[in-house]
Amino acid sequence: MTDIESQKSTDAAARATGYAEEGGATGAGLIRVAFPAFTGPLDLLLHLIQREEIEITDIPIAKITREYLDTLELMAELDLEVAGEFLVMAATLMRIKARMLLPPAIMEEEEEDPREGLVRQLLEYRRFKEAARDLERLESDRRLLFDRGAPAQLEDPQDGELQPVSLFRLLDALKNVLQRQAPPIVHTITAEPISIEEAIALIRSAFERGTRALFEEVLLGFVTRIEKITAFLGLLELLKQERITVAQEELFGPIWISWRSEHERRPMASEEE
Amino acid sequence: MPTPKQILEAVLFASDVPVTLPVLTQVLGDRTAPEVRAILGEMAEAYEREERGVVLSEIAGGFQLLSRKECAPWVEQMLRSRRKIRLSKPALESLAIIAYRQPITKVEIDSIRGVDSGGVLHTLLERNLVTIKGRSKGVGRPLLYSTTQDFLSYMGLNELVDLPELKELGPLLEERERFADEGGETAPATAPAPATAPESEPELELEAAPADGAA
Repeated sequence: MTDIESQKSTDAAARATGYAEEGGATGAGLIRVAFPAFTGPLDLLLHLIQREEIEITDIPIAKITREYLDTLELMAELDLEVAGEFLVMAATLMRIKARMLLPPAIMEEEEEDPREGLVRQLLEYRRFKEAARDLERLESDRRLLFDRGAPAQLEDPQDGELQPVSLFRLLDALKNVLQRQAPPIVHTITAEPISIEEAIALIRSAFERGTRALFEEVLLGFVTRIEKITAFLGLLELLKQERITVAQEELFGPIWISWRSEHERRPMASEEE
Repeated sequence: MPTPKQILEAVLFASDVPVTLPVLTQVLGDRTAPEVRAILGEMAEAYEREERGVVLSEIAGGFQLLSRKECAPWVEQMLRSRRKIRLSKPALESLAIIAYRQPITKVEIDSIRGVDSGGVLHTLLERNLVTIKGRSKGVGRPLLYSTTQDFLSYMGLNELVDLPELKELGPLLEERERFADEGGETAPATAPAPATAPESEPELELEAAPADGAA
C-alpha cells in the first residue's frame, strides 16, 4: 500500500521542477503547489546543493542550514509529514555551523573540517541515489519484456511414503523444540524483534539447497523463544498460503517441511497486485 | 525425432521462469553444456534475424523466451491488470544499497540513506526482490539482506556483475588528498581508495578496480 502512495508522490515530484510554488496564482488566488517527495534528509540536502549550484566538498554551511530549515518549515506548512530524521539533520547542520564559527586556534589540533563527516555521508548517499536511478532505468527496460504469464502446474513433489501431519503434531514439535531451549544466557542484548515476514524469509533460506528440510532444523536458526514462536507463526502462514507442505514418515517421527515450487507460488503473487 | 533446437525451444516455451544451462543440458541428454550454449546462441540469432515476436534472452542465470521490446504496448494492453507496481524511490535506493553492498544489515542501509528503511525493506521482502541471508556475527546478530534471483530477473540482469558500475567517490578523494597535504602528511598516492572506505565493507567485484582519482 505504502508503495502505491509513495509512487504517487514521486510522480508528483517528477512533474515539479523546483520545490517552491509552481504554476503561480490562478483564478481565485489559489496557488498550485508541487513539492518533490524527498526520500530523506540527505536527499533534501543534495537537492538544495544542486539547486544552489554549490560545490559539495565546500558547502557554505550557514547558507545551506538556512535553506534547509526554510524547506522544513515549508514542508510543515504543506502538512507534509516531516520524519524525525529531518530534524536530526537540522540539529547536525546547526552543530556544524556553530563549530565553523570557532576560531581555528580553539579547535583541537589536527581536527578535521567539521563538515567532513557530512560531506562523506552526502557523497556516499549520492552514489547510491545514482545507482537507484540506474536500477530504475533497468526496471523500465525490463518492463517492456514480458515473460509467459500463465503459471505452469507442476506435479506435487510430495513423496508417497510421507503422510499429512495434523496441526496438533506441529504444536507438539514446537513444544519439543522449546523444551530443548538452552539455559538463559548471562548477558542480555536486546535484539531487534524479527517480524513474521523476516522469519518467513529466513525460513525460505533453509530451502536454498533442497526443497525439503526438517522442522527442527528450520527452527534451529531462530535463537530466542520469541523468535522460535515467530518462526512457527511464519510456518503456519506459509502453510495457509500453501507455499509449504508438512509431512512425517510415522507417528512421532521427524516432521519434514517441503517448499512448494515457484509455479505454485506465482498465482499468489499476482493476487496482491 | 525432433531436432535439439526444437526440443530447446519447446522446453523454453513451456517454462515461465529462466531455465539454467545445466537443466537444459540435462533435458537434452546427448549434448555437452558448451554445445547446448552454442545452439542457444544460434537460436537467439535466428529469432533476431527472422524478426520474431519473442527474443531468447540470458537472464537471472538462465535462458528465457521474452516478448520483443517493440511489442510491449500491445502485450501491455492485454495484460494491463496484471502489471506489478513500479518500485518507489525509497525502495529503489534501498535496493541499490543492498545490491552493491550485500550482505548488509538494516542499520547499515539506514545509515547510508540517513533515514529508516523498515517499511521499504518489508515491501522488498514481500516482492521477493531481497531476502535474508542469515545473520551478522555482530552484536545483536542483526539480519543480513541480499538480493534474490527474482531481483536479477526483475532488472533484466544475468548476474550481479552485470549491474552498472557504482560511481567512484571521486571528489572526496581529491578533498582527502588536500586535507592530507595541508596537514603536512602526504597520503600515499597509490592507496587513496581504502581511505575512502572507513568501514571494511564486502565490496563486489565490480568495485574492485582501484580509483584513479577521476571524478
